[in-house]
Order: sequence, then C-alpha cells, then structure tokens
Amino acid sequence: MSDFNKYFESLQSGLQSFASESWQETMDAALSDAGSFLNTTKDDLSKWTQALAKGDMSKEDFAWLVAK
Amino acid sequence: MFILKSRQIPIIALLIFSTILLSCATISPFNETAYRMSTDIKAAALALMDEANEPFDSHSAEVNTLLLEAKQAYEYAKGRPKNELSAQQWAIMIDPEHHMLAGFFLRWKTKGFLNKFFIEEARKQISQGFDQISGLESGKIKK
Repeated sequence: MSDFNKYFESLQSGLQSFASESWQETMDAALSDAGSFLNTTKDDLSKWTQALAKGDMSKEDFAWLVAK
Repeated sequence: MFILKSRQIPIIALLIFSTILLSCATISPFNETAYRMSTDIKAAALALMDEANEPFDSHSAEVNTLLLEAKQAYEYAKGRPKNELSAQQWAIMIDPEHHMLAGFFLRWKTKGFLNKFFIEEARKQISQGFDQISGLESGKIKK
C-alpha cells in the first residue's frame, strides 16, 4: 500500500470517528434541552392553570402565554 | 506520474469540501455593539413591562421608542453577514403576531392595561427571549 493510500485511509477513519463523536454530543445536548424545556413548561402550565382557576388570570391571558 | 484510483476520488472530494467548510465561518463573529443593544433593550423592555398594569396611553410614547430601538437592532443584525439566526431572533421579538416584545405591547394597547400576574409571567418569557439573543451573540467567536 502506498503512503498516499495510508494517508487517506487514516483520514477517512478519523472523519468517521469525528462524525460519530460530534453527532453523539449533538444528540446528548438536544435530549438535555428537550428535558429542560418539558420540565419548565410543566411547571409553568401548572402555575397558569391554578391562576386561571383562582381568577388571577383570564382565559385570553392563559391562551396568550400558552401559545407563546 | 501520480494517478488517482477511482475509489480515492470521493475521499478527496470529501477532504476538499471539509476543508472549505472549516475555512469558512458559518456564523458571524462576536459583535460588541450587537451584544450591548440586546442587553440595553432587554433592561428597558422589562422596566417598561412593569408599567403595563397602568393605562397604555400614558406609556405609548415610551413603547414606540422602545419598539423603534428593537427594530434598529433587527436591522443591524440583518445587515451583518452570516448573521441570519440573530436576525431571525430579533424578527420574532418585533413581530406583533408573535408572543414576544411587540406582541406584548400590542396586547397592552388592545386591552388598555394588563393584570399583574400576566405581566410577571409574560415578562419571564420575554426575558428568556432576550437571553437567547444575547447568549447567541456572546457565544460567537471573539476576534
């Protein structure tokens, strides 16, 4: 095998490993963001529903906040 | 003479493409003016939102001034190369159809005044929106 071939094979292997690691990081970050978003939304919805039930907020205000 | 084998061509193409991709920044560098605009407008916006339990008419001039500053920030973001994400964030902030800054002011104008609980909850959302804008700017590469 020529030096040229060895060089490109090592490059190809490096790129595969780089892509694999990069996507893993992206996936982990996306899952973490989605988890935080759902927890925040759950807390907000709970608070807004209680405020709506107590009359602290109108249906229109509630809809505005939920629709974002 | 050096002759490429056919199976090497895609690899070389990938190498060239990757090199071009890495050498071209896909997002604009950090801009101090843009960052300062986002934090200044945020502070002014949150202070003005606190007044939204009062009649809109007594604050309409301040609202118009602040919306103008936000629109200027949008135009500034839009005019910078490779800065589409920041421009889109500002576009949402100044669009009255979205439930962000201009949307809140439109609601205040329409209703006349807003209740405290709603103001506080909307304030949190809009504050987070501004944090997204300044966060994106501060995360950019500093030259």
